Formats: sequence, C-alpha cells, structure tokens
Amino acid sequence: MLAVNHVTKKYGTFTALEDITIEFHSGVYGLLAPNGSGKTTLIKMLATLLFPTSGEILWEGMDIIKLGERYREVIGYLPQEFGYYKHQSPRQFLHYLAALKGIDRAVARRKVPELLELVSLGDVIDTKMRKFSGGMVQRVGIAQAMLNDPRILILDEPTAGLDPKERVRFRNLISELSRDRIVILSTHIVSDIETIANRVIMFKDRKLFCNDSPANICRTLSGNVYETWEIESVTVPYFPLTQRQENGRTLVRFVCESGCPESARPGEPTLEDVFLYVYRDQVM
Amino acid sequence: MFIYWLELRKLLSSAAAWGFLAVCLLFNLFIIGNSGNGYADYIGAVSKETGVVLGESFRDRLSFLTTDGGREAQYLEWLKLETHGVTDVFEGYETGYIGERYIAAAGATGYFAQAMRDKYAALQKVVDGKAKRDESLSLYFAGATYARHQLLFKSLTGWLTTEGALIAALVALLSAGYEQICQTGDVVYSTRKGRRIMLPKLAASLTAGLGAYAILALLTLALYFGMNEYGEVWRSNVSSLFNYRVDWIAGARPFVTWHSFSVLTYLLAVLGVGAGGVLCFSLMAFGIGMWVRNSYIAFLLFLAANAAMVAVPGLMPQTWTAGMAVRYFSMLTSVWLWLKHALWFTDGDMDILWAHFETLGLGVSLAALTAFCVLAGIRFGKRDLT
Repeated sequence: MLAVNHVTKKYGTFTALEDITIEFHSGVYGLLAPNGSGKTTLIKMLATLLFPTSGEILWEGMDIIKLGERYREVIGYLPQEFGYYKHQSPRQFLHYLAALKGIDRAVARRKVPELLELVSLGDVIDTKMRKFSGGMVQRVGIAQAMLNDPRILILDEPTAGLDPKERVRFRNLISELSRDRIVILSTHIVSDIETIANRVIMFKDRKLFCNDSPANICRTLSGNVYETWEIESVTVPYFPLTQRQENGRTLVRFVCESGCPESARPGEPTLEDVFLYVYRDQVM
Repeated sequence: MFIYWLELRKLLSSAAAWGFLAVCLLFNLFIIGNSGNGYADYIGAVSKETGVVLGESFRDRLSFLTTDGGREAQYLEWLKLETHGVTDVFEGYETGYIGERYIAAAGATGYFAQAMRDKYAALQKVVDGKAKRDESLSLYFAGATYARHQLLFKSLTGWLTTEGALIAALVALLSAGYEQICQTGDVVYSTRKGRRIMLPKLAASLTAGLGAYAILALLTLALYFGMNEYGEVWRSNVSSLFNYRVDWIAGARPFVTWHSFSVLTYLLAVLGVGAGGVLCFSLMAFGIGMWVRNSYIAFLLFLAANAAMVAVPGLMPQTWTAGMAVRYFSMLTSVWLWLKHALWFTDGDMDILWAHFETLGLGVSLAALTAFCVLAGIRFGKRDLT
C-alpha cells in the first residue's frame, strides 16, 4: 500500500498542496483536476522528485525518502513533459533507462523490443527519435515507464499527443496493467479515466476535494442534471455544462439545484458534468 | 560501470566539445607554425653528435663538426662561441637575496617572511646539490634556450592547460546539466539509480576532460616535435646555464627546479600537473553544475568564480596579516596554479611562499574541490527537482 499522510507542499509562501491524505491500493486512480491544481506536485512527490514540506509518503509502511532506491525500483513514471535524447533511438534510450533502473542487460535486451512492440513502435526501434511525432514520443515514454514492471505506475498526462485510436489502446493497456499494481493517472481529460479508473481523486483550492469511485462521484449531482433544447432558458441560477447536436438541434446540459424549467428533462450525471460543475470557477 | 560508459558515450557524442577541441588544435597549430627557430633546430640536430653535457668530450666532438657553409656555418660558429669556456652557474650561487627582495617588495612580516626565508634556505641546498652535480653544464638549446623553453613550457603547455581546463569545464557542465538540457531529469532522477547518477556522471566528465587534454597534448606535441628538432636535447637538464628566468623584483636568474629534471622529465611533470589542473577545473565546473542546474548560468558562474579568485588577492590590503594570508593561500588555488604554470617545479616568485607550490596547490585544490563536489552532491540529493 502507498499512503500519503497529511502531506503539504509549499514553495516559499505559496502553498501548492495542503494536508493531503490518500491511500493507494491495487487499481487505477485517476487524479482529475484542472491544470495548476497540484496534480503534478503530488505526482512529483510520489516520484521522489519533490519533498513534502510536511507530512509523509509511505510505501508498505516505510517513508519513501528513507527507502530511496528500494522505493524507486518499484515505480514507473511518465512525466508530464517527457524529455528524450533526440540523437538516440528508442532502443538505445530504453537500454540507458534500463541500466538506471538496475535491470539486467540480458533482461533489457529481451524486454526493450517487447515493450516497443507493445506500444506499436516495433518498426522504428532503431530510428533516431528526432524524427518522431509527439504521439510516438509519448509511446516511448509509456514503454520506459513499464520497463521495470513497476508495482506503482505513475502517469502524468499520459494521453497528451496521442490520437483517438492510440488513446483507446492506451486505456486498454492500463486496464490490463492495473490488475496487480497501483496505477496513478493524472489528467484533466475526463474521458481518459471515466471508464478505467477504480477511484477518482479531485483537488480543489489546493486541498483534497474527493476520493471516491466514479459512480459515487457522479451521484453527487444525481437529480440535478437536466437537458433542454431551449438554450436561451439556461441562465443564472442554472449552470450550463455541455452542448451537443441532436437531430440538427442544439441540446444543452445544465445543472439545476431548484426550480427547473418544465421544458427540461432529467439526465444521468457523468464525470464530465461533475468536473465542469466542481471547477466551474476555473473552467468556464 | 555500465552507466559510467553510457554517460561517457553521451559526452563523446557532443559535437560542440569536438568542435571546440578542433578549434584549439588549429590555434595550437598556429602557435607552432610561427615558432620556427633555425639555430635551435641546428643544435637539436648536432646534439646527436656532440651529446648534451658540456665538457671535454663535447668540445672535442664539436670541433670535428663540419658544415657546407651558409647558415649552418654561422650556427656552428655561434655554438662554439656560446659553449666556449662555460662555467657552472650554480657554483657559489646564493639564493638568499631573492627571498629578501621578495619579502621587501611584498612587505611580508612574521610567519610569511620567515616562510619565505625558509624556502630560499631550502633552495640553497638544492642549488648546492646542482653545483656538485654540474647540472648547469648542459647544452639545452644554448643561445636559443630561453626562446625554446618559453615556447614549450610557457606558451604551448600553458595553452594546453588552458584549453584542457576549458574543455573539461564545458564537458563537466554538459554532463551535470545534460538532463536539464534534454528535459529528461524527471525520468532519469526517478529511476532506481536516481540522483546518485551524479557519481558516474562526474567520473565520465573527469574522464572526458582528461581525455580531451590528452588528445590535445598528444596531437599538439606530436606536431611540435615533428616540426622542431630536439635530438639529444631531451636529455639536457632544464637548469642549464643557458636557461634563465626574469622577474621585475629579483631580476634575471638561473632556472632552478627543486628536482633535477631533463627536458623530457620536466615536460612529463608539467603535463602531469596540467592534467591535475584540468581535473580541478572539471571538479569545480561539475560542482557548480550541480548547484546551478542551468548550464549557461553555471558556466558564467564558473568564469566569475575563477575571476574572483584572481581578483581577491589584489583587492585585499597587504598591510593586514589576513590580506597577506589570503594572497599567499590564493596561490594554492587552481586558477593561480594555472596562471603560474611557467614556474611549476621552481621556487616561484614573490607570491609563492612554499616550496613545491604546484604539488601542494594541486593537493589542496583537489581536496577542496572534491569536498565542494561532495557538498554540491549532498545538496542535489536533498533539493526539489522542479
């Protein structure tokens, strides 16, 4: 178990995260919040790149800072801005990272092509990465995160740069991987996690806002989401969520807490609805 | 070890480092190209016949030498004149006056004055030993000695140390800041090896720095010795009566080294200290690179730190004991060792208080800069990597 206990992170007088307590067991955890809400700060602390100002992060009951390499050898990490050596091929780069991860060279020789095949880069395994598209680079990043078969897989905005087909492949891959490990997936794209996350963690105002299953989180708006064709009727105090085209007309989804218009019909709340509503001050 | 090789390979793939090395070689080629000295080459050539010990045998062999006239005849004439009736310059040579002049010029008192006197008392014993062994009765390049010695041991090896130090510093900064430049820090420092990768990075950058210095030295000196005839002069003593040094306080005086050096062993010793200096600058740059993660700012800081070390002794009032201490101890820093490279293995000058200052300074600098690197590494291990 990975436990974040009352962790606060400050940069001088600025507080990036305040008193965060979360427990991670096997499964997919989606960190869902707008940019700048502290997701990456938490992720970097989990990757030991940042140190908590107060509080502690425990892996199987021991402080991850004290565990040092014994902790880092169980993590796989894909950072938000995945850098790479442009003059190297994916094979060379992954072999370098395999050495840093303490993977035996013979094992790495077998595993590197396997992983690159898994992320559909088998045909460019020896091509210099300077020629790669953003999506290809991101797939190299995913492959390197899985090199050491990590018990904790930490992915910060992993689907950035992937096309829709790659996104689906990626989600399926994460679902498979999550059976016997902790997958922590940070994103502000709701569709990345709504189908695969066992739990969704949201931050608001630098604090933990919720840590629950997607269904329970959706339930918080139960009975408050409506849809209407009459776009002009969705004004204050209603909160508009999304619009979509249906039969050539625009259907508006909105949150209504009381006194809903008669023309509106109730809708099933989605994670996206909750996201838009919770972060209405930041998103809209 | 494997990670060390991978780090080294990263540095070896740097086009900028190779480009800089090529520019340095071109510059050295320019220096060598303008160093022609027909008389010195003639002496180098005839030394194979005459040997380099100025005695009866030398004079006999010299008298048998013939030329086809022209310039060589003139060179032979000069050589005969210069080596005729020479005497051992160390016989009866007193060194005490040098120390007294330096003490007076520096206004040194107390411990500093005593240390200076002690140094020249020790040098006197060395000079007496050299006199006993007739070390000064060595041909070297006769009348062309000063020019050749200055060219090789002041200009060329000086530039080699400068270039080696600069390349080593650049390579060290590249190594320390590589992940910052490539934005791979998050991935690299979160691996099992983590921030401890700085150790193989340091080893790789020291190797690359030394390697660059070795390549520069090998190619430059191969070119130099290919173009300048040394013959048997390799075996000449650098404390030859024809060699001398000049400073504005003690005037012109024999070139006295603490040990007995032939041209070959002196060159090897100078290259050895040069390599030590390169290591020092490499350590300093790497430490700064760990402290300041932006390589460009780190390079400016590296230059500023060295400039400050040069400037500080001059800015300290020499009427204070502390000011004087700063001045004398500064001479043990790598940048001052580099500036005083032409005096390595000699008694030095007014600023040098201790015998074997280059060895002492190298030891002190290596120890201090290693400690600095360790501290920078500890700090790097505990800091946030944002």
